[in-house]
Amino acid sequence: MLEARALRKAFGRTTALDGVSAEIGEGEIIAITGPSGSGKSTLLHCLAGIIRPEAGEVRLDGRRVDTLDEDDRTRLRRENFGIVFQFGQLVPELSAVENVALPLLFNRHGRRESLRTARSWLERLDTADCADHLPGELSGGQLQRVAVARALAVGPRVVFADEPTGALDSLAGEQVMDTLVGTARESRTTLVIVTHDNRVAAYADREIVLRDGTVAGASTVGTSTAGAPAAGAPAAGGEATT
Amino acid sequence: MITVIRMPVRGRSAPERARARLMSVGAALATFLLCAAVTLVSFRIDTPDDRLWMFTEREPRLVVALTLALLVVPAAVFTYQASRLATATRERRLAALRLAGATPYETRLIGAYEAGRQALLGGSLGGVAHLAVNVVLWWSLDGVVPLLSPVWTLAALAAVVLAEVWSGLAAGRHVVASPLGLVRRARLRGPRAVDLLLVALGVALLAAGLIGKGRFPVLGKYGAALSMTAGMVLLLFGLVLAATWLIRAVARRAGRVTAAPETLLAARIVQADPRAWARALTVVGLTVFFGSGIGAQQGNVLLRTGLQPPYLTAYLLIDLALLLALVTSAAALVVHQAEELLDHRRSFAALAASGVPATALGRVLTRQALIAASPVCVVAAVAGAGLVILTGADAPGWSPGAFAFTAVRAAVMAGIGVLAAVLVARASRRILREALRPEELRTG
Repeated sequence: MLEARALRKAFGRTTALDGVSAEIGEGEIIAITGPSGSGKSTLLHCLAGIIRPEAGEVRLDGRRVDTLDEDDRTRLRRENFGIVFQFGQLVPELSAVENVALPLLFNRHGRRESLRTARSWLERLDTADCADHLPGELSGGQLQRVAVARALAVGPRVVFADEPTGALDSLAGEQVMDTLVGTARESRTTLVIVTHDNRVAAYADREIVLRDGTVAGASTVGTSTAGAPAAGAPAAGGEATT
Repeated sequence: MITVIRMPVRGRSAPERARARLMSVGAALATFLLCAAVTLVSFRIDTPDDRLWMFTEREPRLVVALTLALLVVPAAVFTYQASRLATATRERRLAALRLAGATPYETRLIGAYEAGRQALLGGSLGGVAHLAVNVVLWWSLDGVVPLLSPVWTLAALAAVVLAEVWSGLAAGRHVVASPLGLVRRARLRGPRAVDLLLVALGVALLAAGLIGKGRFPVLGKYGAALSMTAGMVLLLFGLVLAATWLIRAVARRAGRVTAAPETLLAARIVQADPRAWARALTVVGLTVFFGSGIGAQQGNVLLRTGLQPPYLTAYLLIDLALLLALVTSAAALVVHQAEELLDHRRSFAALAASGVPATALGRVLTRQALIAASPVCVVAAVAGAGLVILTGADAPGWSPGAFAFTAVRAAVMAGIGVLAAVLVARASRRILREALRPEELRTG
């Protein structure tokens, strides 16, 4: 469904991606791992159409994404993708429910309908009691679950998560991953997770390991069940199977 | 010690360099205007000169001098707004110095040093610019225009530098408040009840003066006039302070009813910090207030006396001064918008990455300006025109035509104020594009 071929991207003299290729199937859960500066986030940004690679191509259902102009890529992201960031990146002035409703409003849904859908997503992710709170009043775990609700509310085909537990303690991180992976599997949404945490990578079906902008390895982690680390995944803090 | 104080000036980021330059521009403008006002006050004309008919009488000269001195207010507001640019970067730096062992006093000195340095630089340029204009006028008008004593120029420069140093001393207060060196934003201060109290007191004194004309219980025949004047001053200050209430109320209402995501986002951002908008719109509001008030007076005088050149020229000069104030306040609004975009760059970049078009986020900026500026400008226009009509309606010459002129002028002034804010917001879209870079997604 989502395919990258020989992607190259540099920032000044630093090469972030150097001929990276990857294929992601529908409903699959993929972890992109690697050390800091290996090009994980850049690959995610290229796959999501946030930035354009200098060479290579990105295709969604066989259609080129990287050649689309800014407006078309923006529309593509809005209609097909949901994104979860490391720090949630919610709008601090909007309540949790308004944050979740915002993408729906931008997709031209009515106010009532958007707020109703947003509330139901918050209920589904066990954060209904936070609905009317501002992001500043929420804990890190609650914030990330609201961010997950925001990403899922529009019914995306692919959810991209960039270090979704990077700012959380291990317990909150586990809860967020359970929620994210469980909901993705339930709705057969493709999930692409960027992480340097082996415990997070263990939730994936497959792992792509990057090093210095190239694919250093790819592996099948195992068949996982909803909301739980894949079978054969390492214990918390252990090394991922590669 | 000196090395520590000068350290943050080195290696400044682009927004910090822009802040320093803008602070210098504000200081230059303030010094120039102060010097010009003092020059006009020290004006002595022994022989009437046709080329300077405006200044042969003491009263109009003092009015123009006062107008120039009042124009220092928008220049000061502009400088203050400029000093807030890239505040987060400065506070992070000051916090790092605190962690490295700098005392609260030393971090305060760093803010004062930067402000004082830029004020001295800009103020000197303003003083020199005034001296150049002064010499050209003195020479071209055969010495009719006096040369301002260097003592006054230095006094104006000192006043500007001292004001900026005082403002700079407060710059590091958030860091000072946090002994661990952690940056802690000051709590956003909402509207205070005392703001509305001033409005109520002003209205009461004004009403008392109006009702009690000729039979005011105290101070004889001056009592009513004094009560009205005090009422007007209190009402003006009250309205400036109450702008925070007004903006928050309008933003809250807009946020509750709208189905447009741009308006929802704009309304909630304005509602969260109405004080910042009220501060940025102070001079716009004052300009609309005075413009509408003067318009009411113009309507009465011009329709009564006809379009006589001396009046027309005087009013034209005042309108030019109002325009200058509006332009300066628009520059302060640009700084406010830039500061706000810096604050919101991460959440805006995240929205853009999630598929919200940059044009929609641009509309958020213009709607913020509309939500905040519309109530301020409408109330300022009504209050300005209303005060002149209320206090002078029993004077001769008020005709239906004068009232109509007043209403049109007030509407035009309110429109100009809102338009200025909206145009500034539209111009800020360039800064918005910078804020939406994917690099912003990588930081917390």
